[in-house]
Amino acid sequence: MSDCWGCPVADEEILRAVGAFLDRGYPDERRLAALRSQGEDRRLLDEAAAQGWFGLVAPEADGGLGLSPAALVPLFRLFGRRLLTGPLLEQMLLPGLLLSTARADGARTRLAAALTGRRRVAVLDPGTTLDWRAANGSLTLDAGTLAGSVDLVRFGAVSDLFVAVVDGGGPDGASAVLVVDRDRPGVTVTGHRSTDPGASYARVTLDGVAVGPGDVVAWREDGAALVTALRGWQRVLVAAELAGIARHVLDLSVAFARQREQFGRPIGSFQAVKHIAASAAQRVIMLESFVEAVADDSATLAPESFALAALALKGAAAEAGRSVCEDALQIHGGIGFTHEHELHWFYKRALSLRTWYGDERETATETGRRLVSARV
Amino acid sequence: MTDTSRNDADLDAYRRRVRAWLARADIPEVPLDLEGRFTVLREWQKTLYEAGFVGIAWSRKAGGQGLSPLHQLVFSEELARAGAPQPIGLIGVDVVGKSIETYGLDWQREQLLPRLLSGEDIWCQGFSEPESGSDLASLRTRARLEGDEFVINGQKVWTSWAHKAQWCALLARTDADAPKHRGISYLLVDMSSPGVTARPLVQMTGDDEFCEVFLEDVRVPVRNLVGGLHEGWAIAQDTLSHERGSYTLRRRVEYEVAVEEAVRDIRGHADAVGTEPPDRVLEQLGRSYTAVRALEALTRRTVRRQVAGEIPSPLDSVDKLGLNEVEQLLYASVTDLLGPFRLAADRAPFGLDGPRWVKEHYYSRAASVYGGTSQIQKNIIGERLLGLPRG
Repeated sequence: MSDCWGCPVADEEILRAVGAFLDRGYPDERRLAALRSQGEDRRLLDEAAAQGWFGLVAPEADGGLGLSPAALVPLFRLFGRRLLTGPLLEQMLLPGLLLSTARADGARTRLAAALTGRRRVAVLDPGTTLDWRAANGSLTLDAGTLAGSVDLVRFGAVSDLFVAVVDGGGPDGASAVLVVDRDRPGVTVTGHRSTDPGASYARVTLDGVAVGPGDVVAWREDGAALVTALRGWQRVLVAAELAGIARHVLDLSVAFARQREQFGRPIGSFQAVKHIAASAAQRVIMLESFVEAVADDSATLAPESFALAALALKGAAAEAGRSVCEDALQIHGGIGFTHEHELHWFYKRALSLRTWYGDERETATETGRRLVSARV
Repeated sequence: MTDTSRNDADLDAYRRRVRAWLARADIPEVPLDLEGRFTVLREWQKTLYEAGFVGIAWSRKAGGQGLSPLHQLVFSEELARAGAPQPIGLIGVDVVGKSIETYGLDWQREQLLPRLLSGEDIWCQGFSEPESGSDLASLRTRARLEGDEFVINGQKVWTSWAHKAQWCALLARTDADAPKHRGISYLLVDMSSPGVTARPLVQMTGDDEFCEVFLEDVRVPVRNLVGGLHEGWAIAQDTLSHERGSYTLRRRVEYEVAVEEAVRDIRGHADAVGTEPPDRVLEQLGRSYTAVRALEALTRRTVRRQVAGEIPSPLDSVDKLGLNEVEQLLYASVTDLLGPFRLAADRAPFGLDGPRWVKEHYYSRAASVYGGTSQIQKNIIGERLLGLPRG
């Protein structure tokens, strides 16, 4: 089945090119090495930058292709299927999205450097979680000083440019998005131990970091709109990655159930096994349809409606991503539980992505809240 | 409510036309009792048909409008948005009729289908039998050929609307010696024929929508055969595909309306008491909304398959499984919010209409049984979509 149903031709060409690069230049050993070092593969970033991955959604004026972030959806599904890890969300989405809004030269220059891979971006957003938000810190902006901390910053320890999300923490409850260099005085980065094979995490503390107009990407209404878009698109792309993971582990399970024999016949001929696979297939197809539908709708939905769609999609992906991996583990029996097989990497990655920007319970509650408060 | 295929000028124009018509239409209040509901909705179907809104995607020859399945979907969405009910004869319009349109003889198409669409004739589907549920092909109702007539003897069950129907699409065994899938024929039976008795069964919901049907020496002309003699199984598959795919399209619109109603009621209650509902309520509501939204996304693929003529397909079973899971999750989630106040429904917990949700919740339990149980759907998905070996 095409990953890119109804995609513009350009998007399909990009998908083909990226797929061809992975076939050619990204063998299993390399993937495994990245999974053993939490997604660190410096060469991949250089290769991706050279092939223009980071400029896909950047404005044409900045040397990008000016595509909608929806064009990244088929790619993230592919990354999920191939279990390609690293700061792809950070490099492929954030600079492009921010450059579309940023006016200040200082911010633009630094974001543009991320398009070529010369700078590595991480986002300081307390809103990566909903139910654990109070434990994830917050940022405030007052009289040119940025303060506070964010506990979970993906690739925080290996990045040099931070996107700070001030969500209602500015003067009069204003929102803002700023860029801060890691070497700015007052910035402290402390790495966490992480269970995510595809990313490292760090706590970033901003202790009275002086910022100026050149650091501002968006402010007040524009800031709030950018925060909404940034969260919405990260949810959609994480969901796309989960859809890819779910598809791959389903394919592995079906192949295994056709070939593995017990009681003298393939285990997939037993209804007890067949029904697990069939139910997983139904959930994978629904998730894939959902990802496609939200990507298709993104061009026409009002920002608040897109945010709601992304939230619902992320919840569906969190639930299906985990449950399909667990079904795959069950179908594989003992071997799936070992390092002899690749399944556990997909599962661990799915569990990590499941929580990023909200699991199915957090997103459901937030969805219900937005529906009832009619913020849509 | 989600709009199908935005940015399509033709569909947009059609949507505007439908909306304008509905704005002027005299939309009926639907009585709660089955008898009253049947009468009102049959009259409503006639009104819709005369306005060109039943059989939208059917050929003109069969009394339809010759438009695409997308137009049909646009109409269903607008009908729901206007708070208007669906027509009554959906088994005819959505399920059986489409098979007759595809496989039927000219006279069947030309004489029977316009009346089916207008609601003048109500149709039922005589498939299941007391001993043949999931193993439908084991059915025992016999049709013996005598001259230019079939003589039918046997019993059908779970036959929705049989007591109200003028016609029945019936599966009967015409060759007892052939392998079970190859000895079945697809016959159109006039329900007023001597020897047909329909006895309603009262369902868990309290409605008596479906029936047992007894057939004793029922004589049916040979020209009422659809497709070839003994070749009814493939047509039955086509009918079931419609029951799985097209029906899902229509139901998902009703789920969207149900979620919107729950949201409206809970919001109204929250405004009245001045506090936000508890997280549990929000979570259940959000979960229901998410499920319905996911189903809507799935049905976009169904429409594309219909437009491309890719039916029947094992993907119909994915739709049906999706339908039953979403329906059961939605109605159980909302009904759960009644808590113990389902026992005192006049209290309207969180503003919800208790009796309505309780009844819908009961009805939702049928979704994993009718049109092939979820276990049958999983067999189909496992074997025909995933290529797993048969047991």
